[in-house]
Amino acid sequence: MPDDSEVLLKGTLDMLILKALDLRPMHGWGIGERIAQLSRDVFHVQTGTLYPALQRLLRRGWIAAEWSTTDAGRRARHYRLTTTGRKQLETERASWERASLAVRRIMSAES
Amino acid sequence: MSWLAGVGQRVRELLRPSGLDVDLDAELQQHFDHELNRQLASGVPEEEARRRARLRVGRLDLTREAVAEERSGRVLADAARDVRFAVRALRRNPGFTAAVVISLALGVGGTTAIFSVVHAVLLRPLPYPQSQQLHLVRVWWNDFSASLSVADYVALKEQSRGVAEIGAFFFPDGGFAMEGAEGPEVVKGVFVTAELPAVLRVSPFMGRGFFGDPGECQALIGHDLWQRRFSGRPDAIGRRLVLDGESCAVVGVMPSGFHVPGQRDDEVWVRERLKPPTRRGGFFLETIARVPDALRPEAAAARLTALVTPVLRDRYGITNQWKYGLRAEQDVLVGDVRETLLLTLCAVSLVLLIAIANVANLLLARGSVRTRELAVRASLGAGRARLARQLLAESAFLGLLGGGLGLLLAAVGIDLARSAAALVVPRMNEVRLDPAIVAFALAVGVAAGLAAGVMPVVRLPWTHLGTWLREGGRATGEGIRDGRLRRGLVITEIALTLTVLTGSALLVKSLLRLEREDPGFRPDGVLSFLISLPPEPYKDRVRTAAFVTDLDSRLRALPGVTAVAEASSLPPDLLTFSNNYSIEGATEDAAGPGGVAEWNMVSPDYFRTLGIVLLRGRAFDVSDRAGAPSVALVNEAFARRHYPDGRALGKRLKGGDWDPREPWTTIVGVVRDVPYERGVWGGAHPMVYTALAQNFWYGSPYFVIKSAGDPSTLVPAIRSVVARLDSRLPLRDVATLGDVLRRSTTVPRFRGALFSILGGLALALAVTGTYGVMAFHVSRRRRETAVRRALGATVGQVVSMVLGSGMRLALTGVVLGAVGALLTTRSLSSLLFRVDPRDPSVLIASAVLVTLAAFVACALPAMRAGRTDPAAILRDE
Repeated sequence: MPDDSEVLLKGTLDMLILKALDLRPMHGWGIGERIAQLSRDVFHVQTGTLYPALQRLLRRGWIAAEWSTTDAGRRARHYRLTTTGRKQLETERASWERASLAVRRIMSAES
Repeated sequence: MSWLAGVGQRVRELLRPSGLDVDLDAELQQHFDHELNRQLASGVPEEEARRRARLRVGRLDLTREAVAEERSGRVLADAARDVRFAVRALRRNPGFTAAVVISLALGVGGTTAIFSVVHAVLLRPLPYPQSQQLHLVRVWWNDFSASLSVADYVALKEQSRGVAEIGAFFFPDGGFAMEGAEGPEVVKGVFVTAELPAVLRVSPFMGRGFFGDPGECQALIGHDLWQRRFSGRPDAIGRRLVLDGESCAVVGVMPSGFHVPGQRDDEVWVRERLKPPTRRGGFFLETIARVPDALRPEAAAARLTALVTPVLRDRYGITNQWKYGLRAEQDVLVGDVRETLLLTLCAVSLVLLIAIANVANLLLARGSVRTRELAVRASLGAGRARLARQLLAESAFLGLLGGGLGLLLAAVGIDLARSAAALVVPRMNEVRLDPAIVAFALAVGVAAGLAAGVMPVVRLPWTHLGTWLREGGRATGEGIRDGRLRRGLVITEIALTLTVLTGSALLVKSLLRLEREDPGFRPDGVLSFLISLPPEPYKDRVRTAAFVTDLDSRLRALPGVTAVAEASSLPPDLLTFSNNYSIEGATEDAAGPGGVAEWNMVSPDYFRTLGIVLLRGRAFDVSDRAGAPSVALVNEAFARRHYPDGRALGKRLKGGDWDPREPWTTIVGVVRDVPYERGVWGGAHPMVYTALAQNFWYGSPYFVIKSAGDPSTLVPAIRSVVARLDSRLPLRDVATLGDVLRRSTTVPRFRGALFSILGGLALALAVTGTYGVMAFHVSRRRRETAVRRALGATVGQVVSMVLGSGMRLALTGVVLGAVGALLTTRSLSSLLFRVDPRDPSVLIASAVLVTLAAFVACALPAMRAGRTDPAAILRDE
């Protein structure tokens, strides 16, 4: 079922990651799970898309990463939202809402 | 800028690349483990759980590659994408792109060409080690100065130790005649004192240089001459060259490109063998002092003066007021052109500004068309910074193209100018497109592009981009502000153009005045050449006299020749020497009994041949020969200086310093002023003419031949006449006096041409800029025009409305430009020959020209507006 994942719009992944991290810092796998969970299992993000995206967001300064030791004593890399990342999330949310509203209007228009 | 943050991160990653990969591997492994645990938790067998986890996680090797690519590639990819985007956008609008690039290229090309000259001539030090220490020494009497005499040099050499190192050179008349297999060849060269190479800190790269017996003729030769004459063989050292009939030993080869200061084609340096002086006088030694950095040149000059004054007093009885003056050699060499170059650089910068204004206008016009595109992209989520960066990338890219094309133009321009300017601009041969110039052109191009691009970006209705589409994409309040800005730019362009054009017109008027100025002599049909008689056998005055008289009479016998004469100096700028003199009965004052005047030894027919008017008394005649009473003529300036009552005839003077043994010379005539030193521009100075026949110690006279027809056709006949008398003698400096006169105005002509080009360039840019804005204005207001037409406006009303709004801008620009011109042209004063920098006729003519050009630029769009078909346009809308 990789099919549904393709529904994931180009360019929206970054927004979804930011949204996922809005709740709390988490590691890579957690982010993927969170997106799947929030989308009710519609979007599955594979590592080949997720990790380059994380890299991109790191570079833009929207998220930060740090290594920490888990309860089980293993080192894990956690990602968290930065202040600019939070602002970016708001910007993207606003423009997404505008665009999706517009698209919905178009699609629901009577022809 | 996110590029910057990205670069930072990338650098950090590069510093520990392997560590990060380990981290990524660990991270991905954990990811997989999490997934596997979840599958296992749902109760499937381990084998199946692994399969599902792998499926869900995806191929980790591909992930690793994708992350690596993201890390390294994106920074560059972002920039590359911006540029790609820019290229695509620009390719969609080839006309626009071409207009922008050409505008910028013209501005950048001009600026680069001039800058490369300024760089080579003014900024780069002279090609000698520690050249800032080199100074030219001259001797000053009040406000008159001259080169040094041998007496000065000898005294300086003895006294200057600890203050400065002194070396000197002087010019043989018209180069050296070098004997070769194919007859005599004239090579340019100078006589130098043995100290000069050391003072310049340049030693021969082969051979030991001057040594031993100072009475022996020794020569250093240039690299090119060494190649040409000796095929670059090392055994050239010690071989002999016959120079001006004398055999000289080659004692060294100087490095390629070596010349004495201010010269560019000297390739032989012969050690001087000057006779010990018996008087101070004959001021012809170009003297160079190397002054230590710690000593200021004024202080050095004062100390040298103090050291030499008693020596000259004791030896030659010099008691009048004089002193040495030191001037940095670099200033001396570029003195005349410094001002021209800097003013040209200013003018060309104005042209660059006009080009930038032009481009800003084009970008603004395009920006308002692109608002729709940008609004769409903004509403699709493109950030403001991203769009701004995109637009600026476009401007920078345009600037780079403009800079590149400008560099090409500059290269072509420099190439064309190099030969033309070589006569005018010292060190022009050092001008080249080095990496600094290339960097300059590209940087100026990009900076100009960005400068032009910033305004449209700032002026975009950023805050309204979202609402812009909703409002139907019509002009908002910002559009009006844009219009104001565009109009402001047009006014600026026109004002700057008028300023530049007025400056150019002033220089052209000055040039015309100069060329129409009566030089005081008539060059038509006169040919001149120089014969320099070698010491052997012409040391003997009788031999010299015989040769000159013989050649004179043979030249007269040539067909078409109407007059022949000889002179040691020729107008307008071939002055051979100045001399000091004493006036009989003059009171000894601080300036001494006489002064220094230009000196010319001439044959009887000289004044007739050159058409120099005799005002009073008589010219020389054949009775003024050796042994007869010594006579002289003076010019008006000399007569005015010493005989303000106008009674110069019969008065007596002596050349050189007062010496009771010397006989008096009687003034027998006064002639019109003729310039000899710096052309018509420099004007005439006091001049004493003496009879060549009474001064045959001098053996390098110019011959002047007046002919009824074209005098240059006589050259072959003259050559054979000279060869029959003495086959070793080449004709030197063969030229018509007309050519000599024209050559003396090369600098003003060069300047006039340069500024005319700049003025034309400015005008062309301003016209295209105005046209662009007006055309844009008309096309934007098509609907309005159509409505007006539909409501009954006539074609004439529409045309005059457009024309009126355009001409209002133009006239505002003209008024501001006139003010600008009045404020700035004063800086041209010293470059103008008898033209007032505020000359009203020039200003008015330039203003009319700019106004007419602007009228044409407005008329075309106005006519297009007049042709508007209201029905068609209103239907389309």
